[in-house]
Amino acid sequence: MPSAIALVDCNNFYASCERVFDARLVDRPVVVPSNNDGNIVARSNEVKALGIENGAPLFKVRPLLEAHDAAILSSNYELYGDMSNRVMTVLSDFTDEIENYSIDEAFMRLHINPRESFAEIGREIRRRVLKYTGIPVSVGIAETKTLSKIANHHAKRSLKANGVLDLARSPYQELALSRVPVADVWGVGSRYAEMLEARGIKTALDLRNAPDEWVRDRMTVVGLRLVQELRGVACIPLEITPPAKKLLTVSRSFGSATESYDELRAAIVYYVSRAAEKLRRQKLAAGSITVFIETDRFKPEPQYANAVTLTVAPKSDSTIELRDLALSGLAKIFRAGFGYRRAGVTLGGLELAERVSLRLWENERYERHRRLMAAIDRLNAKYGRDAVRCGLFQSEGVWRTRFGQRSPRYTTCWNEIMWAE
Amino acid sequence: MKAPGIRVESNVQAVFSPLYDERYELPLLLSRIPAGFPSPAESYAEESLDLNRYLIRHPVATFFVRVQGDSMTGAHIFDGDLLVVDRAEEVRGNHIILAQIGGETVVKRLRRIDDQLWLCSENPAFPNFPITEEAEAVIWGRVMHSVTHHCVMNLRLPQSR
Repeated sequence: MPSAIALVDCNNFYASCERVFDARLVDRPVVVPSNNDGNIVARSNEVKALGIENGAPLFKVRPLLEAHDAAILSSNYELYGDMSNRVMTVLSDFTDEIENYSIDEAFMRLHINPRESFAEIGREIRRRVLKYTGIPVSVGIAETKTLSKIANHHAKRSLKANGVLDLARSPYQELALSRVPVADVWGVGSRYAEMLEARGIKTALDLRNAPDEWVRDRMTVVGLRLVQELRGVACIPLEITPPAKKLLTVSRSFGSATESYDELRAAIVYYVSRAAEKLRRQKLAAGSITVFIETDRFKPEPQYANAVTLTVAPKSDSTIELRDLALSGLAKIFRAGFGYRRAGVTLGGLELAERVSLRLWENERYERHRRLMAAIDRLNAKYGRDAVRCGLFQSEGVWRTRFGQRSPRYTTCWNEIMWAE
Repeated sequence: MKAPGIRVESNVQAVFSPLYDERYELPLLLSRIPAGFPSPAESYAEESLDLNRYLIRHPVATFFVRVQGDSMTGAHIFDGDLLVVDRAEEVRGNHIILAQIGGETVVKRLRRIDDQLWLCSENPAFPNFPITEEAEAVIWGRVMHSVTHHCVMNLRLPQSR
């Protein structure tokens, strides 16, 4: 399946956020100064057209802005942060491989099937972000991150592109590179830009065509990597943003206290099953597992509570592997002669399962586990929770709260809430 | 920029974002406060009912909006109500929508009358607005729910912007 890198960049992000909620700002110049020093940190297109540079001190440009009926807004980072989260969440519908590069930019790896084109996906990204959040974005697509920046540069400026430009394997790549000043190439700082221009390298295309040796001598291997990227050789990997969730806990209080080791084992297996299901639903694998047990702190009886954390190596999402570890942990902390009232497990070190490094050995067994887990999850989704279970877990027992002839769950179940006439 | 000839009175006070509380994701061992009374319901927290889930179909596209004025009382939308507005939903005729017209944000019913789209009030004392080119109207989102308060709301709301 062909893949490419897309850079999605929100247009005039802060000003756009403000305009979503205040229609009076549409078509008016909008600037946002920084909180403390009053330098301009965001400009709408109308402000850019007035020739006002980013970072300009507000007091200097204020007369010009006022002459053009500009809105000068103080920054609202809570709003921008929330809108940024929304945009990034919409983007994550298109791929799991996404790097939230800044508050208003993300790199994404797009995969397409033969019937689609990257440009179509790019247009759908643009359409959906605009509809869901009101924020206009530009999408540049190419083989590497650095080239996707170049594509985005044109997507934003070209009327014909209308916000989306696909340069991947495109005959227009050279033309696009020739129209970007070298100073605007991603990763070329102002000092390198000066040096390059002084030596006749004025555009991104000139830089792409510079000899390797020459680049390495003057710009180190970092510069060489950049030039390689301009040639379509990916050297700067996506730094995929890890999911926000880092811990996953399942625990319950028991219906009544138990001293039985077997019942605690059964309870732990139940909790691990639940936690592992959640883990797989989110396509994560765990790197650590914590098992904890405790007595009833509010009873005048001997008290005991303990927890143990074990490393899961390699990381795993298999109920079987996690269960075996959890039970070995329980064996370490269990003390006979106490009435246990609560137990649970916490999975930590969560990471996308597909990013977990391959196992050098036992891979076959792990693959069998994964297929088995997927089958169990499907069956349980179809026939109800616990239709299929991983050994050692009883459906009855004190550790599971008993319901008997229970009254309607008035407050925790939509089908059982109170009626009023 | 206000279009000439159109005078619209905003009937929306403020727009807010839903807050998705992540309280259930704290490990209990860490979240537990050593002193104090335990909640017998604590361990069932993840099975409790979540109004966000009940009322919100597209979290990333959903915004809360508070109503001001009486122009929509015929649709049971009252002064001070909270609206749940979903931008992801497709909007069609007869839907109640949030729109921007003449620079103001309004909640209205969208109607098509003889190939002309209108933003209609649901109260004879208030005007309707045709969606014309000069009006610079934007359909912002579909109003999915309104929450009417039958008690005094003592909320300290964020400052309206």
